[in-house]
Amino acid sequence: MVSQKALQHAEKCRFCWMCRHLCPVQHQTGKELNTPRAKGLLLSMLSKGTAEFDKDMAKAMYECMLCDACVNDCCTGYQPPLFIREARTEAVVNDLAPAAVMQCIENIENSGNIYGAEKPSFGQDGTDVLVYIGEVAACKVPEMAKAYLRLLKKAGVSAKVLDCEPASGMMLADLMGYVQEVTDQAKSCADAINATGLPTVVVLDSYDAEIMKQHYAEWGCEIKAEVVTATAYVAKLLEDGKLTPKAEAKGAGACHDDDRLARSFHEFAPVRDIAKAAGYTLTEMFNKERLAKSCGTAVALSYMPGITTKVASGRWADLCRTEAKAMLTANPQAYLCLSQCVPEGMTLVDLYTALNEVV
Amino acid sequence: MKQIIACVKLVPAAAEVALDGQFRLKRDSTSLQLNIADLSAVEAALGLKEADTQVTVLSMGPAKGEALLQELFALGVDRVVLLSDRALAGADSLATARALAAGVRCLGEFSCILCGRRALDAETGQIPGQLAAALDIPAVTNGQQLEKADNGLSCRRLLETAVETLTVELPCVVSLCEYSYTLRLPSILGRRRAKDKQVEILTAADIGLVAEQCGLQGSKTKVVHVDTKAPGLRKCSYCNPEALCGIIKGVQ
Amino acid sequence: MQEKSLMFRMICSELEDAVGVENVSTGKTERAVYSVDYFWLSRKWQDAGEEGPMPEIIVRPGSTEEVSKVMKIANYYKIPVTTWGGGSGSQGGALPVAGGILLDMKRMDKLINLDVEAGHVTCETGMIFATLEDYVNEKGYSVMHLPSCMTCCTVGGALAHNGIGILSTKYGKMDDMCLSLEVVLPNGDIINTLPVPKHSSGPNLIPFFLGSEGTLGIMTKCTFKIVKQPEVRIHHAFLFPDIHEGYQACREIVQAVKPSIVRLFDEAETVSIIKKIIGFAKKGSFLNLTLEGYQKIVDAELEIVLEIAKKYGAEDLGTEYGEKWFENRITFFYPDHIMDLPQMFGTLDTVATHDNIEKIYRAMKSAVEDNFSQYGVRFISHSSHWYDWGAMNYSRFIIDNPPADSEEALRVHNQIWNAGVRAALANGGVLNDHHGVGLKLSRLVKEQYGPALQVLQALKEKLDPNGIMNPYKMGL
Repeated sequence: MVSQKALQHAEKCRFCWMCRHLCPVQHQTGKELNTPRAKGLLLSMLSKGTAEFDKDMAKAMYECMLCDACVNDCCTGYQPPLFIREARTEAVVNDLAPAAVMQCIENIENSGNIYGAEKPSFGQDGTDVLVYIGEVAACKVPEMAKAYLRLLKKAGVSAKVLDCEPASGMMLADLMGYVQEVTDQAKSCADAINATGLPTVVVLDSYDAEIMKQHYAEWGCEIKAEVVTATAYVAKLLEDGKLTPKAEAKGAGACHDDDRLARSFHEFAPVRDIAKAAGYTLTEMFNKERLAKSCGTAVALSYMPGITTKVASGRWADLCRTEAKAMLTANPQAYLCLSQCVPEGMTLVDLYTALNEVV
Repeated sequence: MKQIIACVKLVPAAAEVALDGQFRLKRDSTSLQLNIADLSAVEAALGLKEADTQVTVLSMGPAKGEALLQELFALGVDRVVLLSDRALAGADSLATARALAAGVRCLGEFSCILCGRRALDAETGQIPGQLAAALDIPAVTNGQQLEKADNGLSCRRLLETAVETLTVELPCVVSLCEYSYTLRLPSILGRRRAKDKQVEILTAADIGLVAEQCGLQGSKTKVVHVDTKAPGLRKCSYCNPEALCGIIKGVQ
Repeated sequence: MQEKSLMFRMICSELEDAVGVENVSTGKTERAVYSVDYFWLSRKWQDAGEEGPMPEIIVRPGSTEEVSKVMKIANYYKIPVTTWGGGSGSQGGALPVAGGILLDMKRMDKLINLDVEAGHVTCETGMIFATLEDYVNEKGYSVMHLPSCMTCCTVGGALAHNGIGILSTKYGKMDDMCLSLEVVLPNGDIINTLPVPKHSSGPNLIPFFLGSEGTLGIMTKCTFKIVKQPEVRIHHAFLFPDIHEGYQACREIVQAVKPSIVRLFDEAETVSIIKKIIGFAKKGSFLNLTLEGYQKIVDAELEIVLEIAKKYGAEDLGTEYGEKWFENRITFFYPDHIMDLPQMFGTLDTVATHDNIEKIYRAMKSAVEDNFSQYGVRFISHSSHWYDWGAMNYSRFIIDNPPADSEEALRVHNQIWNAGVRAALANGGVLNDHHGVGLKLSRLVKEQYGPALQVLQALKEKLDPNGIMNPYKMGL
């Protein structure tokens, strides 16, 4: 059974549909079950004994990107992701989580990351800033990580990357909710970052940045260094003239605001500054900034590739209704998800690689 | 240490709480939360826990608090006892301390009692001292950090203008400041273990108290009147600069 | 039907063949989600820990052809079919009270054609209405259907109940916006209404389906007219001495000009609003009025509105309230902002000609207040959709402490509805203005139509001879 707090949120959401039009999963699956309201209703029924927490219900709780679109647009302060995460805890506790989810958890337990692979070494032992790469960029989109490090080098920034970089806990938190196993990971990660003694940690993946900046302190494992998003850091280098791009026209593109930059940090300008510097003429998708539609997450892509790819295609459809032909992103998870289903005639652009080409 | 007892109170979670005709909080209508300072007490108790230590949480309040207290098992709490009885309702701090002391006596041998230094709702801050007095053991108040020391506990406590560290012999009562410890999250294993554990509910009779000793009847103090302060009802309105002169003149 | 029976599984497999395995569900978790819509009683049922009405099989078609296949299967086996769009209806219209197949339409959400020059848009009906409006807004246009449920309801849901939005006084309701429909008949045939809604080429077919609440067929595609976003939208608030003066003034205004919003509040509802605006309670009848379009025309219209308002003794409260209200127009519908359990509440909306609407207001108010005072009922009302020929009342009852027992609550709830609706019918009103009939008012349909009901019954018997389409709804 979920906590009293989670239940209170669920009970408030059970008869309210006001956010369903923003739910990227409900849009793509067309299932009533995939609305925050339905998930709240089920937990309420569970507490009243009219529903059973079985594998079906557990599966329903995993059909959500935890993108916060519902929370962002709500005027009440009730948070569907809060009870959905807790329901995931309940699923794991009772061995009811889908097999693919359990496989992801097992991979994390065995190898430290969801891919069950060793993170590559980036061979960077600089002295100015620490760059936290994260497992998605390291294992799935290494070109983006390498491009980022090259940019720093060109700007004269001496960057360090941890060898055997510990996971931030971000993925485990999506898989099993906010539990001690996650705070244990967070503590190891914070310890490793703090041990470098560097004043700044630049976090490549905004999903990692979110957990570090918005949860670590509450869990008693604060990072001593200043945590900066990779986008904001590079935008500052551009602004300070440390990176001077050549003018090169690349046509119309639209920036995808990833879930965390959009709704946890409300950071919109830096990614657009980078895109402009890389030579793109910006146009905007209708659902942008805080209302940007999620294109899926890497963790969901791992345990639920079908639905996650559909969610990514929903974001592509947004782009196809503009005159832009290029989807621009600086987030490795967004890049990974969007790369699953690039429509014909469209291109997916990693902004760090694009910027690298002109500086 | 054999047993550490953490005393917790469930307080209304709502921003506004209603009073009944006798100026008691209407606890039935609002949802509950653990008192903030008591979170520190629970975490400190779990932090001091060794392999053979039992951490017991003791609380007093309406039975509807059971579900919230149940969540503590997942954190590693071994036993949760809730004193709940209509006869215990409406207690002032003295009657509360008396009931808690009676409850503590039913829990067996203990090394220390940890509690929050004050509750969010009534804010008396008297319970730690009164409880220690009722049990005739020493009390350390306003604690911020606890460590095991020879023969007892070393405790850093907050004074008005300084911080002091002292040691205290066991058994003792230590009250803790808000946010001195961050309460851990439950673990998956903890939640699994918690599934078959149950909050024990004890009545006044169970802890050997008669009606005259507890609740409203057993209280020495009585609230005779409550004044509520009306928020400043300033009549603000927007006006343009030209209109402002006229308004000022009007006031003069 | 037994869930594990051979025949049940045979039918499921046939449906899977029609729409794809992944689009048929029979699991209890998923079925339970459809047992509650926005109907107060379905919520009360859930809250009391009772099991609500559930379908046996959920089918999610992805195209008109798939809907047609499902209907053929359902008709052969005579299985009830309840169509579900957003499930945000307040009348229980989408509740699968007869079990059987529940058709969740939300996979059918494709935008088919958007022609801003010709001024129309065509989409599938499973699209969330807000999504359609977004697509049209992207081009600087609007459907101008802005109901408070816009983010929750589907296009099909709005059509099925002949819904209305806040700008209706200028732009009309669903039946004014809809140009043509594609419909799957109960026998599975796919038909189209004529290309335009106004002609002399035989009776218009749209009204047979629009507002039919899933009892006569399934609307699968719709073409709406669209309009350019207005150059200006201005709001103006007034306070009339009483609701009588308010009704008179609004009648004269809508007979003279074309405001988009006319919201006139009775004295009971005015009290709480007026305090927020001017800081103290003041008796009267509050009006919020909106004009929009080209600046020049709006200026001229405003002049006329001000003149009429003055004639009926209105106090001018300026523009600020309306702007704020428009910005926060849906905030009211969120949890903690709107009535919620344990309260009992309902909207007894009705519509009538100008000469009857005030009579209905008074008759309904007294029917509710006089007969149910033992429950501490409150009655508030406003009139928010106007025509040159009449207006509607959005009258609500609220009981803060209704009977806790669900059966007793149901009894009281239905008694209030019977009394309120009969007061409307007796004074020239109708069952409902824009929420629909559904399960909530089904029993009163005969009373409303009298012998005229045979027209609908004839249609029903011919189009749906097996009576499988949304049974027990709309009195059919």
